[in-house]
Amino acid sequence: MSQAILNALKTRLYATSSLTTTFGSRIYLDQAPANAQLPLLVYRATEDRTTPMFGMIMHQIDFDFEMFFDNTGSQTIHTGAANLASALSTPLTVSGFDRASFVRTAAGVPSRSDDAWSMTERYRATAFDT
Amino acid sequence: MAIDTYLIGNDGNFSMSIGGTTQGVFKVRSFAATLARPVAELTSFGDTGRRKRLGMLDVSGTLNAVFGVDVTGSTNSAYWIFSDQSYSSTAANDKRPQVTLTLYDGTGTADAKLVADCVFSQFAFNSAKDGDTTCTVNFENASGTAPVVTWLV
Repeated sequence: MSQAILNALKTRLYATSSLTTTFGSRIYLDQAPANAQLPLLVYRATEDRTTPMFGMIMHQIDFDFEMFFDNTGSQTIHTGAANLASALSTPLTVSGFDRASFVRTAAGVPSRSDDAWSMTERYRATAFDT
Repeated sequence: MAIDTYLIGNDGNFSMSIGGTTQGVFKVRSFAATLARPVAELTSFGDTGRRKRLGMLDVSGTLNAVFGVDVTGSTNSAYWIFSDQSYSSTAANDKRPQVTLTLYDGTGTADAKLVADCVFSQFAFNSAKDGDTTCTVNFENASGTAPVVTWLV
């Protein structure tokens, strides 16, 4: 998949103050480090579908955003999801593409374990290379 | 001539111009075109087999496309979508699209393509919130002259 889209997504996530206020710098691609402090956000691309056309290619990329919150934290996990939705509510500017536009395809359901809450939000990004 | 290359979709291309100006308002994912002549039945008494003649060459088909916009644009330059696409001998006023359907683009003379002055008789738009926005465009030969078929392989 396109590195430019991943870079643009990382830039957008870290440029969204409501997310960095909640997660700090604990926004990770694919996997969080061991013993990382909560809350944290892990995002990963699960599928990249390319549709060739005469003159360009359409990319549709599915992303999972998995967030973890401490049971004792004051911030509810829903706030993290709302902040993520706000961060992705406008298209990303991506070099080599017209834009990358995100739409939420599945809202997460909070799941409680013995030491954390977790929830996975799913988004689909669409971009046309130019 | 011996054939050394068999065609696949990726060998093809699509382009469209209006009044001699190339149009990029949509990109085509696939096309289907039918090149046809009507068959006139001329069989008469005395014939021992059917007698038929072919009529004028015609082309019609469908484009599966994705439309685009210029977000910085301020003019409605895609007027041909809703216009009558009428012909004018003045190129700047000619709203009739010239369609080039390429099956093999050798970027030279070794092309396999079909060029026709057409009208777009139908635009069927489809859009899904969690998917893409596509359009099916129907075209038909319209100029009173036959489509030009090049097949120099």
